[in-house]
Amino acid sequence: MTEQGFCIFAQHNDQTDYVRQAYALAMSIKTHMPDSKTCLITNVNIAKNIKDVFDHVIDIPGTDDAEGQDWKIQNRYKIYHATPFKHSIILDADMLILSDISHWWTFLKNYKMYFTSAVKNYRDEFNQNDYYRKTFTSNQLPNLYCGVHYYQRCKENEHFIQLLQYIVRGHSQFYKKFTPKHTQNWCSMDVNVSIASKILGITEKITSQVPYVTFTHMKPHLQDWQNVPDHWMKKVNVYYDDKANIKIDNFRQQGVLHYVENEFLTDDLLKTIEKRYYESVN
Amino acid sequence: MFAHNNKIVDYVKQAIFAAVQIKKHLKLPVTLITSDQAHLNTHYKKQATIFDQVIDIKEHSTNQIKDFYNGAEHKIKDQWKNHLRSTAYELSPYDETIVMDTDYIVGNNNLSKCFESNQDFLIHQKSIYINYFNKPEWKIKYISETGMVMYWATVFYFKKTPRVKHLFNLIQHIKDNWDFYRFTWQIHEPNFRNDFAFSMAIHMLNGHQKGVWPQCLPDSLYYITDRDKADKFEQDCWTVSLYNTQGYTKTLAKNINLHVMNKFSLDNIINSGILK
Repeated sequence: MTEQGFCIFAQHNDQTDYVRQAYALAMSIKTHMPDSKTCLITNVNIAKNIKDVFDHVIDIPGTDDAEGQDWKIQNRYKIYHATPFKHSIILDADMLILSDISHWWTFLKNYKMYFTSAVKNYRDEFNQNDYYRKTFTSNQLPNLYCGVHYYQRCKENEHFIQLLQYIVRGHSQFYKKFTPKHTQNWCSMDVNVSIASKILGITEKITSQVPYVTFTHMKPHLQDWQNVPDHWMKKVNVYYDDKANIKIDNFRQQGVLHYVENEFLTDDLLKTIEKRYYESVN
Repeated sequence: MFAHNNKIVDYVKQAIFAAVQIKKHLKLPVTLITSDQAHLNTHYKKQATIFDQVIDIKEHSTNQIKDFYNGAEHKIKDQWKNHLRSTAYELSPYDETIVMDTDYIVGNNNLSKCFESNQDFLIHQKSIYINYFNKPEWKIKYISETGMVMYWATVFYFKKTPRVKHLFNLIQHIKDNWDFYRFTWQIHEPNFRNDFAFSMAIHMLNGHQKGVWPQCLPDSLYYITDRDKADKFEQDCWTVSLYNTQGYTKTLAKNINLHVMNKFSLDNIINSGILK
């Protein structure tokens, strides 16, 4: 088993080409951390040029728990079993790595598993706004994000993963019991892991008040704007140079950018990311 | 301090009052940079000795007009001459300098701690409006809806270092290309504003990212707006009338450094005080 690497989960749906996003993300990882290993977990047959960017491409194991769902997140708990790495950082596909984050490994290896509990806006400011998190704040759930999380393959984590599987499969019942206020009517992995963490009483062991491992979350209501549009790209412009360094409204972005909106990853930006990737590996 | 009079505000007179307070609390030499030295010598010959140095500069022609309020009810339009702040680095005769607005009145010695700092530039990022009832209206965190955090050029400290020289050069450049920069940062008002130019320059020098430089001044930036009124100033205690929708509320504020934006009520206080 490989020691450590980044895992990206991409299950095909009709709205979004997650494999294309994962491809861009993997190239951005390799650009900034050339020695990093990457793994794509997917149910899609992918082209050779895309496959070549990844060190591992693995099928989603088992039956499809997301069958008939538009937003196919129900299979994500399987990452823990599918990953070829002993230590895995799991990233949402609609993210880009914009600087070297390999120092995170040293921090994360103090934990068996880790979930981010604070996210930033494009101004690099942590935002306490609970617009999207009413179910968390009103039901005293730990404020965990799966966008970036970490697992160590170890016995201690298996209990959590098993519970997570139960919650995913019976999420309606769990949500009724653990989130009676502002109950979400869709399955959310953030809610699922937070419920699992609450049941097991392990929140302090799987996150930190020090927001060292974090990401820039581009959901519009997190940006500290007075007039909030339905899409952040309607409000601020995106700029990038030929090295795929990205600015959002004149704020240089670093670390992990969770761009959320599929329109962000234009063909031209993807080409620029490809160009920089091939320059760095050749 | 910089002082450039317009038809309605005597900034030179304000500077005399501000200098008296600086001498009292900070015990520092004071230099006035002004395009109105003749006015100083003619009208305030006796008081002008408060300045250790007066630097005479040419008036910078400006088309900037703004509303000068005297409380919520009265306002007058006049020129706003704020274009020379970026020359502070070049014109200051000191290795370490505190620059302040003439309507920023010192009431304690907190700012003397600047000179014990190893920082080359200190400025306020937060300001505190002492009018509790009107606070939400005056919450200013960013220079614009999508722009960077606001720094206040009301008062700042600098040492002459290469980095600070870059900062002032950049502020000058932003001033010279103000329309470009204000459109870039989605600032709607056409008037050049030092607070905005300083904020932009700091942001750019930090690589268009949030940075740990500069640090904050060792004090809080308290202010009243030009809709409020300063009624009295005795023994470093302000009596102010703070505006709210129900009228004015009288408040005392003692031993604070206060930015008094209502130039007319500040003028009345000066007339009845040191110039009486």
